[in-house]
Amino acid sequence: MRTRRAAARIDFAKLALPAIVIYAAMVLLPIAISIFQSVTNATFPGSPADFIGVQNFMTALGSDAFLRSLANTAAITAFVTIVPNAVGFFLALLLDHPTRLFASLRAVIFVPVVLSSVVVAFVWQVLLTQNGAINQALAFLHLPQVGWLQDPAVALWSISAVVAWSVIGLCVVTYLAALQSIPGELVEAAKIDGAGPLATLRYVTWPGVAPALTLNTTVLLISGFKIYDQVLVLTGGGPAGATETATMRILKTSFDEFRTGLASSMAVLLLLLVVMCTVVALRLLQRREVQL
Amino acid sequence: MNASLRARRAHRFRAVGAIAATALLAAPLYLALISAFKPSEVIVSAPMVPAPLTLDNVLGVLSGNTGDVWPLLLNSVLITSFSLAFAVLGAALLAFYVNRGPTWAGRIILPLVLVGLMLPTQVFLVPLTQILRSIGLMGSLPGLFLFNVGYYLPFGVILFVGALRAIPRQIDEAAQLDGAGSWRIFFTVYFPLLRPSVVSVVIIVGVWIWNDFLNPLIIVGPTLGTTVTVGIYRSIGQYQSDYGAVFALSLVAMAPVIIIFVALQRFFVKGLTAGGVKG
Repeated sequence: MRTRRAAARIDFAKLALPAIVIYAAMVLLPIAISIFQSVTNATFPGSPADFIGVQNFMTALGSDAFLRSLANTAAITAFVTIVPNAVGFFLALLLDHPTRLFASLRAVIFVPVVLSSVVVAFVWQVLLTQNGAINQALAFLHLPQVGWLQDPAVALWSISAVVAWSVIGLCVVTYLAALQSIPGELVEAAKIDGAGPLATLRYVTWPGVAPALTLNTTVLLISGFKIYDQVLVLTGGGPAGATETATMRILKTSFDEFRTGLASSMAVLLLLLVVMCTVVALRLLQRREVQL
Repeated sequence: MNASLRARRAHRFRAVGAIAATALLAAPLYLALISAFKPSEVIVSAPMVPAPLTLDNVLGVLSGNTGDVWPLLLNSVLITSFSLAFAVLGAALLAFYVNRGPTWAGRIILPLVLVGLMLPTQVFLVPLTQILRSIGLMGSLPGLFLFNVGYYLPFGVILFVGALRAIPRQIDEAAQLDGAGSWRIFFTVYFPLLRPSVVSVVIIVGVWIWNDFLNPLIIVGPTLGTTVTVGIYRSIGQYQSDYGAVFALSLVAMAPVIIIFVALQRFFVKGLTAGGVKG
């Protein structure tokens, strides 16, 4: 028995080694270097760098630009995690019908999910310009025009809405799969017990889609922190940095300002934030699933 | 009013509601589609009107005059297919080790893989460029290929580990009794069993790599030897007010993905929900 397990162990490791090496070299090693660089005053790659302890972290946490970028990232992520999630659930309820028509509708709703973020952002940029389609529609309804991408108070939410639009289809699909896995007998039993549609929704459907809620929330949360392309195309981080995300600030600090050490400390802070949020969210959601 | 009449009326309301909601959400898609076939001047002034139609934009793109799209498409195809093939294979082999190897290895590797899935690239992009530069692969397609394989491994690993959990260990013992080498065992026994997951991973990661923007931009650079999404981004700056050109370019660049999606819808859905929603 032991020789067979030992032989098996060696085989699998040998097969997996190239993958491990590439992953370590392309992902783990850069992360480690980032962490190392965060405690130095590195600038250009190759230039001398000294150990400066937590100075970068103090600078980053005292930097208005960085703090604002964190707030922006948090806002966008929260919006993108909650709104398409909720809307997707109700859309899934609406579209859960086994006809050809509904199948086509579901397919159409999913298309934005497979489009490149650059294309999505460009299309919406055309829609949201000063005299673009949205403002034209508002003018037609005698409503005031809005500076969707120019007004600092609105721009961040415009961007969030664009991203939300591009992921609704994903939420719908996940909730649909969950809806269809709820045993028919449960719904029947509820009906026999005299439950109306709202009560069924609350006591049978909603608990039944708990796994989909967990999956969607986790995926959206992770994607939210990564949002970059859409911001770049829609506003470039403006006006005057009002929509700049943490990822954007990090890249600007390293590629435009050449302060690699500082950028790395920002990256480490972002890393901690992402890991913390994801772990907490996952724990809460999974605990809820267990209870249900 | 009897029950069946009420039911039919309810269904009709539902269909109307569903169509309305979908139309609202799909309006931007409609705009994008027709704009590729309209002269730029009318794209902003009359966005929703499907006229006057012209093939000039699309012909300009296909002929290579607008944005020189064919080398970009070729690069996208090469990068996506090679990165995908090796990322999927690597992910399967790694998942194999995590699931069937010693438990200590799985316990260390899995969290490390999850970290890679969670983190925004920007967090380690700069050191990555330093590493690529040190092995002479910065600014090149092979560099992007290498990065893609590493970066897109985690998703496949997670999915394959889930799939492998469902494959009973008795198969391991039967397979090894045959005396075949590990490669042969893997390909003839396990890979076929993983096929549904493989399809899902191929589709999802394939779309991700094709649509990837920042990584090709930074690793390969914004010059001509890059992927089609970077080309679109460049054309936005290049063809400032010539919206028609950018819409046409976007259409041509997204056509492969949309065609594949329409043809393989079931697999998209199955892949995304694989094991995730059935509690």
